[in-house]
Amino acid sequence: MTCEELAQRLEAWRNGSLPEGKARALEQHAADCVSCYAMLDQASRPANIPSRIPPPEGLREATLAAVRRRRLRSRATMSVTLMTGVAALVLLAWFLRPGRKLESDFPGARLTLVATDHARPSLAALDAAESEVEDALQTSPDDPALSTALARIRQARDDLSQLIGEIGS
Amino acid sequence: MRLRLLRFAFVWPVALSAQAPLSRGFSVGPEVSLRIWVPEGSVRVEAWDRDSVRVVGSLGKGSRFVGSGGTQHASLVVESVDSKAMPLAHGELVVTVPRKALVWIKLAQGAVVASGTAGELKAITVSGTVTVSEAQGTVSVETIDAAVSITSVRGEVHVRGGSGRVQLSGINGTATTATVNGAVELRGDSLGSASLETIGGSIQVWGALEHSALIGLESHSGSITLHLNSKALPSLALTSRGGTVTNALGRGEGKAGHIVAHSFRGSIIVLPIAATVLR
Repeated sequence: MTCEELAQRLEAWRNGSLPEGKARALEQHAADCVSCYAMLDQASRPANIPSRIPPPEGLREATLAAVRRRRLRSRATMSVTLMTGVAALVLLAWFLRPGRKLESDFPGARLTLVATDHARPSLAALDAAESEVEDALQTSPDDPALSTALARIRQARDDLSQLIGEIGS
Repeated sequence: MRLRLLRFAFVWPVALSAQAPLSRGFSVGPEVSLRIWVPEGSVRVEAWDRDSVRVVGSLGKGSRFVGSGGTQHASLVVESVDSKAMPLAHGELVVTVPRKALVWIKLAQGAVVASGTAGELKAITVSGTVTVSEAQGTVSVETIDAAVSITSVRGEVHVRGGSGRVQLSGINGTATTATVNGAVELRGDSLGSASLETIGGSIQVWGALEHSALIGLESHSGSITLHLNSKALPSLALTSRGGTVTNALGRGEGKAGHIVAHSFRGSIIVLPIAATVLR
């Protein structure tokens, strides 16, 4: 294909009416010819399209408002994160301060700790007794005396736990 | 000492110095409901036939006394001036109350002593000792592992404990006691109905029963020992699932009360009482 033939068939190629074989030959020529390539490139661009399309009415304001909202949310999130971080640091510093003992500083919690500490042997004894009765129940599941004994032990544990709570309250 | 009588719907002054002396008084109704809360130290409750409360004693360093309430309800509290202070607030109080007052005491560590009350007395403690004597009405003690001694009470006695020993004597009324590991002892020459339970502690009963009394004894692994008068032997129903039952006195008759004892694996022993034991 010559440069003149390409120029003659350019319009047919652009509107798609050029046969497949001639279209491939035209493109093959343009690939090897700088001037014809420029013509083909120019012809392949959509006609009558303005260089700048004006945005739909209100899009600009809506976009700017969305950006502003996003910035506010971002600032709020950052503030909360910052405050949480500072609070965590303060708490951490308080917990790790020199000379702090491991016990809680609050009277009720301290009393609960004292009560729990004193109750430990009793709770261990109750656990052991409960295990014994449960074992016995496996061999004699229908023995009402064992069920009663188990209920009594569990009641004793509940009572002790309640007393610990009452001491700390 | 001149007693200052105050109607005290306000908070009393603070005592801050080490072992600061304390002396307060205020008028109340004859059946005032009084709550006494001392974290550590001692509380002695005495009763008198006046419509007033007197508080004397001392406060530990960093502790203060706060009294509040009115003539029907009042509270006496020893607390730390600094709520974050590590030592528990300490007070040594002697509180004299109207005889029929309802007295509620909470003391985490230390000694509670009460005598002469005729209303309702309730003590809650963690450790230390609780001693009640010459009281009427209802006496209730709940403790984690304090030793409890209750003597000469006319009325109802309730004790719930952990590993501390519980000693009851001269109870003219009913008694219910439950411990985990604490030994339980009941003495009297005219015992009323009672229910004594323990998991791992021992139970010992000395004395004679009222003719209509029923005493129920229950243990898991603790031994049960009965020291009884052979001439006034109550009817005895003794069973131990895994322990031995040794009865040197026989089954007895129902004319001198009833004792039902059961243990999961503790031993049960019945012995003749020595004539001098109860004196």
